[in-house]
Amino acid sequence: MRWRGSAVAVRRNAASPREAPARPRRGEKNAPKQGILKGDYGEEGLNCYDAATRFVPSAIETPPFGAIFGRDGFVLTFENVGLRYGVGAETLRDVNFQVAPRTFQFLTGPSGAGKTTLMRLIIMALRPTRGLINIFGKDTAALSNEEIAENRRNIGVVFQDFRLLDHLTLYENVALPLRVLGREESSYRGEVTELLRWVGLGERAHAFPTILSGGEKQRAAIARALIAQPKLLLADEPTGNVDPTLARRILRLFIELHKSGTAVIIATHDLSLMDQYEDARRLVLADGRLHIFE
Amino acid sequence: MRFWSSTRITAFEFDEDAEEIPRETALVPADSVTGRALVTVIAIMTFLAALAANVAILVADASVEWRGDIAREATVQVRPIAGRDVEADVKEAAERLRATHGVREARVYAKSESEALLTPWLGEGLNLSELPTPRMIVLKLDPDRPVDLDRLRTELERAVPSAVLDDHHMFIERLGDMARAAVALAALIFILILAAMAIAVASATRAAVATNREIVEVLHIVGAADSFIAREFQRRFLALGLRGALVGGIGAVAFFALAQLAAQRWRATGGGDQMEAMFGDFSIGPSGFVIIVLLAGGVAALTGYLSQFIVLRHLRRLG
Repeated sequence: MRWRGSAVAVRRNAASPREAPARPRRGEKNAPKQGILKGDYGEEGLNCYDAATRFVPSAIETPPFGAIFGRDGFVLTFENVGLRYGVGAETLRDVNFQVAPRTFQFLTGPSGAGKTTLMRLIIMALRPTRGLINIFGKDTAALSNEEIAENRRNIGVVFQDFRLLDHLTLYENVALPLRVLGREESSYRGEVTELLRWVGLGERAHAFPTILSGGEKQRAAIARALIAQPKLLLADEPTGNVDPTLARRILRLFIELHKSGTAVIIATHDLSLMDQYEDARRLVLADGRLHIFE
Repeated sequence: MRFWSSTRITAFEFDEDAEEIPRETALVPADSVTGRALVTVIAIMTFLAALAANVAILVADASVEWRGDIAREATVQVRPIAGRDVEADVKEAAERLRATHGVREARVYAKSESEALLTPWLGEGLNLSELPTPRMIVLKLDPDRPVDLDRLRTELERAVPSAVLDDHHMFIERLGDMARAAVALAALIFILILAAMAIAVASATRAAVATNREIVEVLHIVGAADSFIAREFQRRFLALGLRGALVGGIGAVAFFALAQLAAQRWRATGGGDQMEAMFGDFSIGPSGFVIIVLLAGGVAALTGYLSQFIVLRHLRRLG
């Protein structure tokens, strides 16, 4: 199904919180798809993409399903979530949605619709005024600070403004989630170097963020979000500061991550970006409500 | 295996010549104006605390010495009384005192010597021979064989009614009170200095958390627990505390070394003698140096602990 604004069928508050999806199996409908990037890349570009995504699922060390995603099998569940700042009107109203493992969705809507607020709720930087948020099978309202930190380690976040630490080198910025896990530097050196190379920043490992271009910072921020192999990846306008070519490459990178088993949510209002990956679900925020386009 | 390892080609151009990877930088930046100011404050506070602690010890040691000197001495005053021969009384008292167990020496002051003792009060050039000047007997007591001074006093008064034994206990008590007051004052100053330093560290920690709010946010988002973040701040402040304590401690050691040198040079002068009477020769000895080292270590540890405690409390309040 292609999405063209209001011309498509809208299913409000789509999946009921009680409708748990069956555990996706390889080859079934919900299993990772060999997605096709849509757009004019030329013959070489498409071939390149196909090669890049020739991925071997069995090579991934996947923990037991229930151990990560809880009994209902969802990465994320929002039930009647509402949020207001101060005494004003609700920024988000009756938000109901679920994110299954290994799914890809775009979160979109006009500026100020609450995309970033929704992202902040997911990363537990905000508490909802009402409703229930369940992440990896845990009710966020009942989590202690330590449990919130533990949950966040399964979430990779790419911010629109990158949020790289200027006093650390790119290598150190990317390694930050592993350092937080208490791992020795020598134990992750190879992983970080490899990922930096993978995002094309191998030669910039020693550079500080202040001297990097917007695109380089973007890729570093993505690498930082990916390094700990999160179960859920959130990206807030990840292509907002880059040219269309780089935007396509970044999207490709997210699709590869999705195929490796990570649920991906990309907040964007770049329609052309969304059109490049038709298999993705669309979550549209408007007037504080969430509309889901499957 | 990681997904970026299992894809055949990389999403971006692969850099084969990536350089060697650097060390781990502290997550809380080390160089800031607040950091340098805090090092200075900690150095000054450590110096003052070391000074207060060692001066208290010097005064306490000196007072023990004064009291020991005085306790090893006693005086007997034989007053001229009508109808009694003062010279015979002096002789009788001196013989009895010399025969007392624990009295090492009993030196009788001649009349002229006793009169000379009055000069500071009455002035020079007076003929005191007509005055009923009391005669003095100075006793040196053996510290290893303590004398029962109360018994001696009673026996002496019975044998020589005009003799009065003075064991200087009033003076010793006053000296003891004065020394205890000086030590208590130094201890109070020491505690106030530490309290002031703790307040300075607490303020600096809160300022550092506010300044590095973005770092704290990023650390939270990548999954850092409050205890991890607090430990990062603790590491940073422990390093600042160690630097400050080291500078302050070295300053205190240098001060006492110079003071000792100056005391030796000025020993023969009036002022030098007074200083020596009060503080001894300013030699703090090995125990003094140990105290400075312990104090510097304690200051650094206190700085680290306080910063961790304050950051943890701040983060829990935020949470």
